[in-house]
Amino acid sequence: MTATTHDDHHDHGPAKGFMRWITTTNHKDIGTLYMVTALIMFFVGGAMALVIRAELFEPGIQYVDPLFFNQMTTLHALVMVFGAVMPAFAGLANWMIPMMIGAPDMALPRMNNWSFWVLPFALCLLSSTLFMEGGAPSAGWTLYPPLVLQGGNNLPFAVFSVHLLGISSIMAAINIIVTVFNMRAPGMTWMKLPLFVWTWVITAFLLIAIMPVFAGAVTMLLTDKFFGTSFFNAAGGGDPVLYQHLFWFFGHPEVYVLILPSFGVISQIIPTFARKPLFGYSSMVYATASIGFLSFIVWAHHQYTVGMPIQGELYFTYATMLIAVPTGVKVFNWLATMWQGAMTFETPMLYAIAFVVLFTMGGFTGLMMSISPADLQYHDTYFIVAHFHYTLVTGAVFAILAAVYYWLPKWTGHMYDERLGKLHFWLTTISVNVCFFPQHFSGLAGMPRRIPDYAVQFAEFNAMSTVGAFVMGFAQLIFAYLIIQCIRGAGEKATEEVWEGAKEHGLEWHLPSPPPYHTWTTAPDVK
Amino acid sequence: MELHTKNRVLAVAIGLIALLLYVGTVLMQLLAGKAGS
Repeated sequence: MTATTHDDHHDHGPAKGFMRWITTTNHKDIGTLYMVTALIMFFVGGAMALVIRAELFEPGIQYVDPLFFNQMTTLHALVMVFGAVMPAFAGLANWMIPMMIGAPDMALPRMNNWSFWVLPFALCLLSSTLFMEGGAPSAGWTLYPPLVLQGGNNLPFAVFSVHLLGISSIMAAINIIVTVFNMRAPGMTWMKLPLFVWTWVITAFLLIAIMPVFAGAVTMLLTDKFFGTSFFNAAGGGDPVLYQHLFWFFGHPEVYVLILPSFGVISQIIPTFARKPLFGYSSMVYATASIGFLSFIVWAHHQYTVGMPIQGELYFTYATMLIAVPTGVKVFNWLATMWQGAMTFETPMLYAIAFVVLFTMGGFTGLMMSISPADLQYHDTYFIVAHFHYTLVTGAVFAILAAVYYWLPKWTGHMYDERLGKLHFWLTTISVNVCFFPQHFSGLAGMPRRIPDYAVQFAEFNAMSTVGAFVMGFAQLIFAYLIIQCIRGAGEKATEEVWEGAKEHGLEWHLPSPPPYHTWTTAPDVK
Repeated sequence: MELHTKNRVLAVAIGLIALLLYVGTVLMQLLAGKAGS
């Protein structure tokens, strides 16, 4: 008789069949589940965006009634933020963090399973509101009262969905913090951590601090509607602006939840394809932490038009402008990393370079809006829509696309078709600019956001935007095709290193491609 | 302390902070008399 040891337990592979995905506690499986969910929701949210853009192709009401249009703008945002971008980064974190820090798995694998499996139910609950009497929430992703309280019966479903999404995010954040604090391989000191891991640790702290506040705010919406309280009702002694403060105390750091891991991804990719170490590693860490801190003290720049004392406007203007300093540090460090590097331009690097250029444009328009007197002109116009799509599409989404192309050969053991990858890049990059760049002009000329009809003077800009949006949407089918091809093993076999010289840039490149089901069961020796 | 215990202690501590923030957000407004009569 042989005794079963702890090590024997780790020798087994994945369970067979469908139950593997329900019961798995393996970080790679859970990473895959997150990524697949994100991809599906990316297409669902994208379809909603195309409904919006089809309606806006020309002035007048064409295809959908205004209420449904408003439901689309609300759900598109909620689905993209909570269903696509956040799960995609959670998937990347699950796949990569243990492999990058030399840990055998996440610290709390069963909670990891739970934090994923809450997600599809929350997203189904949110989507189910579309089929209810009165439809889905239509007050915008901010769910501002009193408008959101005047809708149909969707509110409790939307609120419960937000609670579940929050629970899922908090559990994922706890897992990441505990993993990085307690499970690093010997020798993997804090200042040796890959930047992707650093950015995720700071993001996880942000999530812990903000999700409960948002959950609290929407709980008060619920009690205002159904239990006779008046937290946000002036007639009962409450204040609707209070909700805006609570929402944006969550909402502003939330955009950094979406962008900090993007910074991490770009900081992994650029050194690999420039064949140089990252320039200014420690300044990157401090810049990320500074951005995380500053994100908590600038929230009211979203509320200039509500009215606030001049001292408040001055404070929020200057505090917001400060964010440009650590962000600038990052951009210059990426440029310095590329400077005199032996660069090659494979698809992940193309996306990373596009990220640096286009995200910086989104950052600059953000700087314009931070100036409170100028913001009175931009507020609630398409200029804002252009700004945040430059930060979240050419920022966060481009970083996710770059990350998938970068690590897909490691995950699947097969190279993607580089020719099709580049075609996907150029189609996406050109179309995304055709879609969002004209929105700066229509916004500056006064076109309001969240409106299904508009004055004829905006017709050309909107027609261009719609053409760009449809090309961008359909170009993503190439991306889905490339992923499926890699999973099916159609491409050339990937080496352990995948990219020339990648072993210099992280522990994950020392593992086989694809990595075995359990990795780093013996901790690596980090020099 | 064993690694599993260390992991659980840290996880519970962070979870409690999150719970406190949730309760605190609502409680603060209740105490400020914002819930109405």
